[in-house]
Amino acid sequence: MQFFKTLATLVTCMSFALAYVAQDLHVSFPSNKGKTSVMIGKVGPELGVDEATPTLVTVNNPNEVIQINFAVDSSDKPFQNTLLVGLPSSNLEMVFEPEIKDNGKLSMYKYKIDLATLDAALLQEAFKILEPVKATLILASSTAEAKDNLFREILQLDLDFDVAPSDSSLVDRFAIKPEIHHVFHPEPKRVAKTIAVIFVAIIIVTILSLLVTWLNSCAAAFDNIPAGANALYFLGFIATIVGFEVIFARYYLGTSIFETLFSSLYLGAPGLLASTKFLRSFGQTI
Amino acid sequence: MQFSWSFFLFVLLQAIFALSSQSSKTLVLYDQSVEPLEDYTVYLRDLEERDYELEYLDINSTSTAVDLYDKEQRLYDNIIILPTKGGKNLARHVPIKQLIRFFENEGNVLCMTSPGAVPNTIRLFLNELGIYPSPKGHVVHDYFSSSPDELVVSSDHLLNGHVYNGKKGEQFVLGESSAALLENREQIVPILNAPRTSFTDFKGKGNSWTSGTQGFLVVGFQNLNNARLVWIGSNDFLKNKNQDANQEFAKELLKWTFKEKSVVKSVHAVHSHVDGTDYDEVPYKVKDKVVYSVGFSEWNGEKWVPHITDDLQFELRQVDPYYRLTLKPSGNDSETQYYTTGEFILPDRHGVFTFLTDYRKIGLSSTTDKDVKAIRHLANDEYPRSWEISNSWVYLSAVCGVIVAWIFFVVSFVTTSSVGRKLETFKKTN
Amino acid sequence: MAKTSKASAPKVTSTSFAVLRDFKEAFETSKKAYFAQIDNNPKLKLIDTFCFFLVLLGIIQFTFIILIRDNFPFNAFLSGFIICVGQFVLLMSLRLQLCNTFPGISKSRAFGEFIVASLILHFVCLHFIN
Repeated sequence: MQFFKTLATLVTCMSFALAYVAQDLHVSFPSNKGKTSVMIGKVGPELGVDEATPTLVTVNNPNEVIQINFAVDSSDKPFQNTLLVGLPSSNLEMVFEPEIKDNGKLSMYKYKIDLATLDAALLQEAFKILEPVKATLILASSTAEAKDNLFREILQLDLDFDVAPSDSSLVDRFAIKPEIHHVFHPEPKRVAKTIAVIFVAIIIVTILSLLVTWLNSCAAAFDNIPAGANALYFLGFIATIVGFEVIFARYYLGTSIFETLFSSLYLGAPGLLASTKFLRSFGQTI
Repeated sequence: MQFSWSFFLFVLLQAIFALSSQSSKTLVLYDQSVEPLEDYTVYLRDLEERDYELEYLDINSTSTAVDLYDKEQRLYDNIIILPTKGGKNLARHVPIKQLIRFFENEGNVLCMTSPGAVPNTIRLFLNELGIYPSPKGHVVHDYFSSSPDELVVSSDHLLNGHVYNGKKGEQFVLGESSAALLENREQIVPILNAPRTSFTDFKGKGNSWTSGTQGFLVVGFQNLNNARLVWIGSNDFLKNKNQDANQEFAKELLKWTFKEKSVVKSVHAVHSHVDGTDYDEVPYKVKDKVVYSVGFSEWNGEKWVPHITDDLQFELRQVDPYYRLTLKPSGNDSETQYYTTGEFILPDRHGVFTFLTDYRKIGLSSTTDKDVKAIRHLANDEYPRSWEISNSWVYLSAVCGVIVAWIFFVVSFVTTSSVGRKLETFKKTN
Repeated sequence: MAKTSKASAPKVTSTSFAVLRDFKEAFETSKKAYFAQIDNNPKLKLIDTFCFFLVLLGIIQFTFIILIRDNFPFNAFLSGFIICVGQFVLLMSLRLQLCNTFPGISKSRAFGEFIVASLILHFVCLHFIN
């Protein structure tokens, strides 16, 4: 009985010694005096990867240094001792190598993660997909059996600070780009019709009052209406002026420029004649 | 006339394409002393069955360079470089400049390196493309793998579905493999990466070149002329002895390399007014409603089939894009899937615009369709007339009022007698 | 400081008074001369009244622009405003020549030129208002 007990302990001890175990694993923050370190404890390969939930640490300083320390049996140091930090789901992981200090029976392993040195692509991706950055520990050797090698996610870093977008981010490998729709200039505003009508009325009143002023002040007395042959020229003169204005108005309403030019020519020739005659004889009285 | 010309051109292009894809001339460079040709017969025979014209050359056999070109004429469509050891011999046969020129001129390249043999020609050529394979002696290890002696990678590490869509649980045997670091380039097509727990080891010194998923075992590269290159980091991947595990992936990989799959073409890119009248009949002016459509086909190795996707984008550009619209499927026939923008309003800016679909997807060949057209501004009689605008009623009435008053003025001016002659003299004397 | 200002203050007022008085006198004489002139010549009165109302029309349109804070059909505003200004200028030229004929240019010729220039102005404005 005693023998079997000893054997059992021996066997457990043996298997314990063979498997890679990180003892006394803790996370400290050397750059931040106030922050207490987080104890995780013993991490070995015998636990399933999904069994233990990794410790979540919130970081709110982009220059924080996170230090992961643990001890490994000196007699059986692993050949592969890397810490992967990143986003496994996005295939983005950085590799950290330890500082090893031999201390008698135990070897002290120390990983320093300086957040300021993390790749911009990694930080930006972490913010895009809103996932904590994961730290995974690998302790393995070719001599050990596969089941004794340690591969375990030990820590999650929740980055609680803003990351400035930079050009060194991942190339968007021909990803779909945001749609662009042209923004049109706004249509010019049109004033309410009533306001326009009020102003039109004001202008008409002004013009009418001009005419009334003329008549009232005896400026327009009509006391020198030409008579005889001059009356004919006078009528021609007035007709020419009114005719021209009518041609202009028709042009404004949509008659083509050529038609306007021709009709001006037809009106202009006799009109000029009549007007000159009128002005020559009658104009002396001006 | 234009249509018939373009049709002729289309037929010609298709003939050329059919020619190149049916019997492509392929140069196989091998090194009998390192890896005998017999180890790779499965895939080479497979290529020959698909009408590839293979030409074999042992790099140790002759000392003169291989002619990849006859003057300007490219003599081969593809080059396969099986593992070779004598870096100098390979460099003499295919100088790196020749290889780059060949690749630039739309020739496809399949090459391999292994921890035991990394010829300088291939390494420097790959470095030009932004692929950095591990140097001689660096081997990928994965202590967590079920078979510690050789590298076995599961289909979870496949990165591009256009190259190969692996089944769940498939395992690929890479044996002794090297891994490459990649630059962040758009043309690089990562195909297979290393497991998270793997690392490259150089003579027992630990992490030496790559670590975890940052190492890539199979990498593709597609240049701007749609020529493709594939680098495989392992000699063993294409070997006959591993065909049970690798066969499907390897065959698809070869098909992708030699453009037998994931080749896309765009056809019938047209744009017109919404009512169907095209640009030649009525040129576009600002704020016209137009519609753009384009068809896409994909070569599946035997024939053209409709290419169905939802990430096609159309751009209307004048230096900068004024519109970028995601195209919606509109209809299809046996060969082509058609896409349309739906109706959109041309910008209120005149000038020369480019109607552009530039389809670039990682793993697919790229297509560009562009048509440069002028969009005119409004003609002087296309603006609203002043009487239609309430604001200008005021000014219009002022103009009319002045004209009426002026006529009245002229009439009264000539009909009113002046009685102020003495005033002038008064002024003069003053 | 205070002393000097006190001493100089009455001086300033006396000069400013003098200036003001001079100005008032000058103003009164010119006003009288002006009204005498236009009362003697109804044609000048005709022109001046027209000019006054043209200024008024310009002000009304400008007020409209300020009120709606938008000059949207700017061409229309320009043509409305320019016809006032242009007509004003042409009238002033005519008035100058009526009072003081230019050597070699008769009054009837001046009037004829005025008519032609005004017609061109009206055409341009109607064209420009669109």
